[in-house]
Amino acid sequence: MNPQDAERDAMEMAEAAAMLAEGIPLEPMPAELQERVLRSGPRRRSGWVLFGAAAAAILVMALAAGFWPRAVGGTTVAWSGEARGEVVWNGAEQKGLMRFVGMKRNDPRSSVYQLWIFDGERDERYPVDGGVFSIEREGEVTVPIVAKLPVRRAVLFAVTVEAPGGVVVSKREQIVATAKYGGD
Amino acid sequence: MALVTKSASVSAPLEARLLPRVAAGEPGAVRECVERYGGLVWSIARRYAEGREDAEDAVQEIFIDLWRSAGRFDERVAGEATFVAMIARRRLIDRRRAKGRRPELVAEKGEATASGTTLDTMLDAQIAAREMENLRPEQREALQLSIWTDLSHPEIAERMGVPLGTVKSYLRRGLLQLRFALSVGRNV
Repeated sequence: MNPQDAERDAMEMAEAAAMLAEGIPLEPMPAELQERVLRSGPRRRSGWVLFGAAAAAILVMALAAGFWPRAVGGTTVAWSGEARGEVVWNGAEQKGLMRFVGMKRNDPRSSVYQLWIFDGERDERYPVDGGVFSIEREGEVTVPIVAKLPVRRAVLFAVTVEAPGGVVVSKREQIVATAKYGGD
Repeated sequence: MALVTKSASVSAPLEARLLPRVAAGEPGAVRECVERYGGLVWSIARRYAEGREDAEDAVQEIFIDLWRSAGRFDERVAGEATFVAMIARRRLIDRRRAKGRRPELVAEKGEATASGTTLDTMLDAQIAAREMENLRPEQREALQLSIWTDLSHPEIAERMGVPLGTVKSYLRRGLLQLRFALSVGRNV
């Protein structure tokens, strides 16, 4: 961590401690919310990574046969912008996949790609984080979608270029692909 | 309803650290972390967020931030619960700023018992509470207005009848004093 970030953390921790000192009424977190947090936690992401690797291997064959959308059971829409390929999303099961063809490779040490899912039921300024990924080889690449929050009605998928690790709110300075969606 | 207060004993032993275990990817650490700090995060979110649904979304974002930031936790600076509260508060403030509104916190201060919270939370809360009393009255007032109201720094300056630069100075010096107290309090 650089010195500026460490300084910011330390000062904000002093503020947080002052807030605690003044008194925060504590309520238990609802059990249902706790389970949602756990489902979207790092273990879940690890699981998705493993799932993604397995799914990618299966999809290499599925793609060749032309039935990969059926593997997710959702609706497929094509990317526009710099990317070629499709995104398939199943809103009922909250799962999906992205396929990219000829997408520019990124160096994960300096930048990553991040998917954003615009939800018609949420404020458009805050699309749902659909996960961070890298394109590490030429040709066709398939990436699982890892939505961090439930997506009630997907209306648009967008891929941005962000700093390593991704961001919570994108400045949308580099949008490389979008796909309008009306499947759910 | 439990309340984090200044009534805890500083001699209470610290609980086992969870964030380094989360950062190391240790199985079970994430669940323990959510179980230990879920109430604290949820309670802070309920104070800052606009309604229950907004609070629920915020809590999920806060924990995602926490998983990403767990490796940055340094127990020499403050306790784990304070680190969690800092991440929660930062995310909630960012969310409100992104919506074009300043952070507004509905304070529900009180003097209830601290049962149901963690020893770690109480330790930092007690250190900070004691140090708040050592601050100059104007520093304490500026800090309390900054933490508990939606007033901007210029508005705090107007409320207190002092120049903006003076308010910034009160806040910075007050926070530095608290920060020092936390650091010393945790390392003695």
